[in-house]
Amino acid sequence: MGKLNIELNDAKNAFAPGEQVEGRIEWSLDANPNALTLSLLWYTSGKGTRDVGVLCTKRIDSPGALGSDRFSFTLPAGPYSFSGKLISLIWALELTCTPGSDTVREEIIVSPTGREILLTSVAGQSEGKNNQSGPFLKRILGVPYAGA
Amino acid sequence: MRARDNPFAADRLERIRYRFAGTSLDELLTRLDDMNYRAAITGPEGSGKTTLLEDLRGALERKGLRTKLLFVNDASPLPEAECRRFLSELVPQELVLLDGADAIRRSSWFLFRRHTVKHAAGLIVTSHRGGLLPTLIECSTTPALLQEIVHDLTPQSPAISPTLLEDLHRHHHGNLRACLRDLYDVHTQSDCIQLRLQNTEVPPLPSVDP
Amino acid sequence: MRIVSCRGTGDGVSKPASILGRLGLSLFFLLFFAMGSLFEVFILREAGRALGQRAWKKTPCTIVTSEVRERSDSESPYAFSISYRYDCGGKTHNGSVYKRGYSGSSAYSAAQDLVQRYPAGQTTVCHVNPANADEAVLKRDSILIGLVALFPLLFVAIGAGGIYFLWRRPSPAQAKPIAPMVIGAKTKSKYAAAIFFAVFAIAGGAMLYPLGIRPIARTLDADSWTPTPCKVLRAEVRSHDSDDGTTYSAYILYQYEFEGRTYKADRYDFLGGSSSGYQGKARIVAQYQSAVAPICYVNPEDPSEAVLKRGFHAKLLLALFPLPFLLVGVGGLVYAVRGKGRDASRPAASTEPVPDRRVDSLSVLRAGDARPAVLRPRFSVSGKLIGAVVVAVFWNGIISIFVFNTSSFEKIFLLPFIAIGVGLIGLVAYQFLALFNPRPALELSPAVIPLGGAAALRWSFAGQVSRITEFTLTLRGIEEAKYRKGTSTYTDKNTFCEMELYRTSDLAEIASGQVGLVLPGDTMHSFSAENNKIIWTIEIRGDIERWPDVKESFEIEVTPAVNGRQERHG
Repeated sequence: MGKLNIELNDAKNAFAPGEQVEGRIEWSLDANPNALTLSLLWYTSGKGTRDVGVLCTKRIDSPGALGSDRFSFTLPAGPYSFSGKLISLIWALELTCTPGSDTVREEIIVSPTGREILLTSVAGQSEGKNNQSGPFLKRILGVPYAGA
Repeated sequence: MRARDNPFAADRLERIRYRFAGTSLDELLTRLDDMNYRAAITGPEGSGKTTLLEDLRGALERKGLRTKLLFVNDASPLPEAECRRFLSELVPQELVLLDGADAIRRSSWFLFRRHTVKHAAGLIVTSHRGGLLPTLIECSTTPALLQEIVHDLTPQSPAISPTLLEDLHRHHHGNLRACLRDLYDVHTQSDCIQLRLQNTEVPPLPSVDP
Repeated sequence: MRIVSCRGTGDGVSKPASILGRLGLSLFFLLFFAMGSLFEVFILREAGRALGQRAWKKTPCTIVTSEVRERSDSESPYAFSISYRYDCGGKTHNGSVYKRGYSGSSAYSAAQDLVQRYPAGQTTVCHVNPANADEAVLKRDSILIGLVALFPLLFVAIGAGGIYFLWRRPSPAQAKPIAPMVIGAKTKSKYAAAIFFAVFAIAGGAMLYPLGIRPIARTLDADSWTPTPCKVLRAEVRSHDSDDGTTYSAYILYQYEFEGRTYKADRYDFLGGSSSGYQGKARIVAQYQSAVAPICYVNPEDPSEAVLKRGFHAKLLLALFPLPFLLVGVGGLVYAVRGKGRDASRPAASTEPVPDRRVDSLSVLRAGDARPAVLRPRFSVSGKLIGAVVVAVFWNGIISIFVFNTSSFEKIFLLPFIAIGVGLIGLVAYQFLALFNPRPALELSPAVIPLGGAAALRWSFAGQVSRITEFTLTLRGIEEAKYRKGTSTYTDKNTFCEMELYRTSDLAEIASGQVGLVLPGDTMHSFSAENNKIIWTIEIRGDIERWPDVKESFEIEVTPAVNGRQERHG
């Protein structure tokens, strides 16, 4: 079984927008792959269908079964890492091996505060379009359900 | 609760695979082979047709068959020009998987049906109603299935009771997708309540009959 | 596991049509081109002939005979028959042509008018062909036909343009600017809208006078005309076939005596024209066929002019049919020319997702656009009114034709359609009332605000501001998540930030004012991806008693903090 690893300098995983993300990738595989691709990307998670934005990639062709390399990416001004009630946006470095589906991902935080931005919810301000259960759901959410 | 931590987040729902009752994927593949790979998966909204089609696709590709998937819905319609272009690029060894056959225009459907007879290895569609092609399987859901899925997503959730799941299933007429989306909000809300209770150190509210 | 986006093939990218499709469309455009060219050639030929006639020599002539002749031709039974004498080149010639191509008229009154214009014994002017002195006309062809030549050119342009754009080689993909030139685009669209509404106004005005104002004015004028007994010579329902179907008109030819002279006329009312509905016309014809002593109303100033039906009747309301076109045209024209649109470009989203594609993200963002922006709500009140009027006019116009031309029993089946028509009129009334709501305008400076940054928000109201009892300005941050699966799309929203910026009941402050705002620094900037968005809005609310409140929402652009650091103010 192959092993892929992403290591960030000084184990730092929180960055301000515009900062450099630097580190090292290591691989130890059973066979010599065609290529290794390291991507800096963000993706969403939550109630909506996933969106993905790939910022930049570094490709290493015929890397050999064993090896390591350094990387350095400049982060953009945004989007920030954030989590709300409906959407989370997560930044990550992802190393993949082709052919095959071996992948490793290292999450990072991109935020001026050094922490993920948390968005709360203003009471009574949520609504859904095409949500057929509006009043029904409010009834459930408003009263603790029997049997809970 | 952060959106990413909600067990009912969209990306987690999309990892749910189809659950068979009374049959299996292998049996379906055998039946499909007998039907010459021209069949329809039918069922109401949220009954797992798309999920099953995706699982079938994986199984067919593992068998060595080439597939080409086309997804159609209200947000991704299929204009006739696009339909013709898709069909013109088909190779005879490819199996066409059309998700949302009843969302395309009648003229486009006739094109699909006619063209894939000679120029493709087969045509498998999903549809709310029967009649487009011989039915491979009719998808349906039960409250027990919903409970099983919810348990896999979140083994311990005090706010989600079997009674709640039954009510949700009935309210949404068996549409599991809609039930799971509602459970996203239920889970968020129950987490907020828990957090408030922890912060204020007030004993939990007694159960109230709905 | 590799992250992949869930997408179908409907990604909105346009693809070139197949060859067969292009050939089919080419045939379609070729037809347009051919028909347009054919009509153009015909019109230009006629215009050329009319222009040629301008060179014919004006020659004095004397009218020998002038009368209306009745023929067996059912299409044009009444012909103006004339003969006149003129001298040319030392010789006397006789002419009998009124106008080139004249073939008579279906209405007696039209031929009668010509007899009165060219009575026997009168000296007038005729136009003689210099190449052939025996050829002469009293009235030359109109050169205005040349104006009509512009119309087929439209079809020629559509045909040629369609073929060109269908077959031309696509230009290489160009990088699109991130901040598009919205100012320019807005100016062009403003004038395009003005031209569109000007055409509406011209069409409405051109139709309103002959179809509306003139018939109503003459109907009112006929109140002073002299009631005179008349004799019905002919009464029949005439049918008129066209591409849209068959229409009918009631034709009644009657004779009367006024101040010792006998006249004939065939005007029933001042509206004229034909419409569907045979029964209504048949009733009118039957009424006059069986009338013992029908009365007509004669114009004492011109006794050759008479009418059978005068006074106000419901059908006259149809004469106002062109009025909404004129109102829509003028209203839209004023709105398009006066409306300022946005003074600054609408800022681009702070980040655009480019799945699986390299993005130079630093170039996507701007530190802050210092120009102020005038914000406008997405849908204007006048636009909604215009839309409601157009729909109501079309619907009620069509239904009224059926209502006026059907029996009482048949009207029962029209009740649901009439009810819809009444509902549409109600909608127009509602939108009309909403027009009188005071209208807010917001100016934000700078147009794009970084997180933690400050901005000045200026508001003003146009209209009756005094009706607003309380005014509130709120800044709102909203999460929007769209889930697409199966045949449906679900959209959920959650407000994560709500800041009341201003609240007042003071009239002067409501009418106009300014407030500074500081955006929170520890929150999320505007973000737009295909399925997930963070949207910032400024909402205006003006409470009006016993009236729809003023509620408008304006989207604003919030960018990441400048230099990647939180701004600290205050």
